[in-house]
Amino acid sequence: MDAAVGWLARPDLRFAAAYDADNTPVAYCLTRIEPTPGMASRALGVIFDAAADSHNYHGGVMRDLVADARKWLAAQQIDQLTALVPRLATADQAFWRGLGASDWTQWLWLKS
Amino acid sequence: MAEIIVRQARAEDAEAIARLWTELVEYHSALDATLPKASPLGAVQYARRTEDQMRNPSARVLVAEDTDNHRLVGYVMGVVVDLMPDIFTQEPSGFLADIYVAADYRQAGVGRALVNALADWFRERGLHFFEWHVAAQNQVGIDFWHAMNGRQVMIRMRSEL
Repeated sequence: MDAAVGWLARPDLRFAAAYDADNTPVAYCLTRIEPTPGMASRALGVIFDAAADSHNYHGGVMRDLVADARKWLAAQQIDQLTALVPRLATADQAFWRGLGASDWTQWLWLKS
Repeated sequence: MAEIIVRQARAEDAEAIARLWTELVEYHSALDATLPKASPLGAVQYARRTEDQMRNPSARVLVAEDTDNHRLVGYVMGVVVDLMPDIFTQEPSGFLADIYVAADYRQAGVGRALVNALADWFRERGLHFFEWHVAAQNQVGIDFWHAMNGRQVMIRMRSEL
């Protein structure tokens, strides 16, 4: 809860949620602006967490939240949107491909 | 056969490291035009940032040097991070920010030596794992990391706005 309140105050972070007619939250999306020092494009947008309540289904709600994130980033002259998706979450990857996204980088892990 | 040593970077190495970084950015751009390109002052900023990281106790910059001609032929930069500490009970881990080996020194174990030296440093600091990103179009890099036993955990997907 404290973390969420902190996110709301951050200018580099968009915390958007969708609600049903009863004012119950059904989905949320967290987007941040990630600086790219030394690069021609000064920053890019990253959706680093997003979830929808599968027990309270509302078709298209995540699409709407992504549209909101795109609009917020565009208003700040950010022209690239990226999303972090678990390797095994094939449904999530399909969702993003359906929105025109493609694989950009792999995130790897190694025991040290 | 040239002998390559891996050592901690020094302030006077910053410009050579920035030149290697420029090659890295160009290498990536040739693989995938959507990957970020360097800004006009990118190399200068990178050199400055590298010097900052050399002074940062939570970062390590290592270089590979050809002892025959003292040329820097590769480097790696790693930092200690704690991602999203406000919501996840995640232990500090290592993050390998950049690694590059000059084209004429590849396939000679230089990259492996740099990674192993950085992993040793992470281990000495009590870290149990480290992470990094590799471009999805960089098949040579992906093969290298699989040979190092790297395991893919996430994908970063991208779209234009």
